[in-house]
Formats: sequence, C-alpha cells, structure tokens
Amino acid sequence: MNRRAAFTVLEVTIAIVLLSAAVVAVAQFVATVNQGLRDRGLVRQMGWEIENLREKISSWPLADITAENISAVPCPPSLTSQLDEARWEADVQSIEVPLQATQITLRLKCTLNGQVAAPEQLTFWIETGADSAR
Amino acid sequence: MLGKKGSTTRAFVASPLRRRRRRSAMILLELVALVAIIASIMSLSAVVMLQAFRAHSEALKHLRQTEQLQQLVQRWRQDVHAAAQVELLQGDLLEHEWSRDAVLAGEIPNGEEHDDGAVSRVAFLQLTDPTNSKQITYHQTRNGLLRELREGAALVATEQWTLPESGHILFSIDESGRRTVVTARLEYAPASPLTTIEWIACAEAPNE
Repeated sequence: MNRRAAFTVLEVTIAIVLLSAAVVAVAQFVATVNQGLRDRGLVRQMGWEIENLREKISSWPLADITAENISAVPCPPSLTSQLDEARWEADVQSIEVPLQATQITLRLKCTLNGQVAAPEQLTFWIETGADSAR
Repeated sequence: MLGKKGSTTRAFVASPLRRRRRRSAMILLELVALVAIIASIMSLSAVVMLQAFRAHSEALKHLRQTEQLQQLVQRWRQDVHAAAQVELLQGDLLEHEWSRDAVLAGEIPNGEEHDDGAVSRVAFLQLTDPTNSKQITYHQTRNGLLRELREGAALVATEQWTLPESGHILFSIDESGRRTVVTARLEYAPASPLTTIEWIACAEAPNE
C-alpha cells in the first residue's frame, strides 16, 4: 500500500518557484507599462514647452530672433526636473520663397537615463514682410 | 548463543506496530513551516501586485488628465491666436452668484479679502475677435475652467473643462512685446505631488 497522503517537498518547492516567477513577471510588466505612460507624459510636456517657446519667440522683436538669444532661454523647471542637460538649440534663417519670412527650427536637446535622447524639434516661420518695421 | 540467535530473530521480524509508525508524509513542524513560507510569499505577492496596479492606475489617470489638458490648451491657443483684444478681469470665486456683467461693471470688488481669509480671487480672460462681434471668456469655477462664447449679448456656447484635482488656472498678460502674450498657469495645492504647468499663447494681432 503506497498511498500518498500529501505533496512532496519537491512539488511544493516547484509550486513556490513558479508562483514567484509569475509574480515577478506581472510586476515587471506593470512597471514597463508605467514607464511607458511616464514617457508619454514627458513627451507631451516637451511638446508643450517647445510650443510655449514658439509662442514666446513670436512676441519678440524680429531683430532679437537669433539662435544665440533662443539658446539663452532657460529650460523650464518642469523639464529640468525630469531630464538631464536639457537645453534649447535653434537654427534661424531668412527665406524669400514662398514668402518673406524668418524660418526658425527649435530643438530641445537632453539626456535621459544617461543616454542622449532624440531631440524634440519644431520648425515654424514668422512673416517678416508685413510688420518687419515694428 | 541461543540467546543471541533469539535476539537476532526479534530484530529481523518487523512488528506491526513499527510498520504503522513509518513516515508517509511531512511531520507537523514541516507542514507549519511550509504553510508559513507559502503564506508569506502569497502576502508579498499580493502586496507587490497591489502596489504595481495602484501605480499603474495613477499613471493612467495622470495620462488621461494630460490628454484632456492637451485638448483644452489647443482650444485656448486657437482662441488667443484669433483674438484682437485680450483683457484680464478680476472677479471673486466665493461670490459665485456674480455674473460677467457684474464684474465688467465693477460691482464685484477686486482683491477684497473675506472674513475667513480665504483665497477667492479669480481672473476672467476675455478675448475679443477682430470684428468685435464675438467674445470668449475663460474663468475658473469650482468645477474647473469655464469657456463661454458670446455673440453680442447672447451666450452661444459654454464648455466646462475639468482640471486635475485641486488645480486652478491663473491667467496673466504681457503686452510689452511685439504681440500680446497670454500665460495660463495651472497650479496645484502645496501638498499635491503634481507640478505647476505653464502654457503660453501669443495673440496674432500685433500690439499698437
């Protein structure tokens, strides 16, 4: 009569190991999803800040719109608290076609978790023909 | 010799009593230890998963609020861009019965403190289009940010934007530049983990 009355130690150990592995996998999955959500929030915030700078520049006198002046604009604390070495860079050039305007390309450069992040970029134009005298 | 032989025979033949005492499973102590280990692992797992799901839920909520704010900001920027005239009017949040006309008429005192010292000021951002026929007003209410569109005296549309908890928007205007710059600053209570966000919009019409 070799009837079993309970689990063996090996069976119980395997069950515990499998349970632990499942919990770790679920926790890692949730952590990854969270990181993704945080990254999306950060990207949205970067978009807001680059739009804010665009609006600010639109109110500057045309003579003040230079790459140096734009680079001198400090990065807002909402970004510097989450990104390392965040800074603005810009290319400013005058164009004649299709309209007389100043073309500005804004870039937000930064490092994230020790890696250089692809810069958020925005190009826009300010018409100079109509109110360049202001 | 005989005695020895007899004892050997007794040892060799297993008694029914001894056979019954043979172990077929874990002893009670092992079982208790095992149950304790399993219980602690299960509790730890439950706590880890609960924390993870809570954090996930918070992140998702924050993301949804951010999406809604994005829509609000887009609408607000469009309105400011289209405005020829931008004004900031002060009102009072606690006196909720005020009307826009009462504020315009100066019937509601600006910056007057209440007996309980409550912070009660609210700013109306009023945007007027170039034809002077449409007026858009933004102001903070208890439930969020209210956008009202008026054509002449008639109220044409009202939109209520819910802000993240304990958030309130403060508007400011800077007319020193080439164009009027309007800033909306979303602030939270000091205890809130959320950080202040600022949006800037520039009226397209140049300053005089």
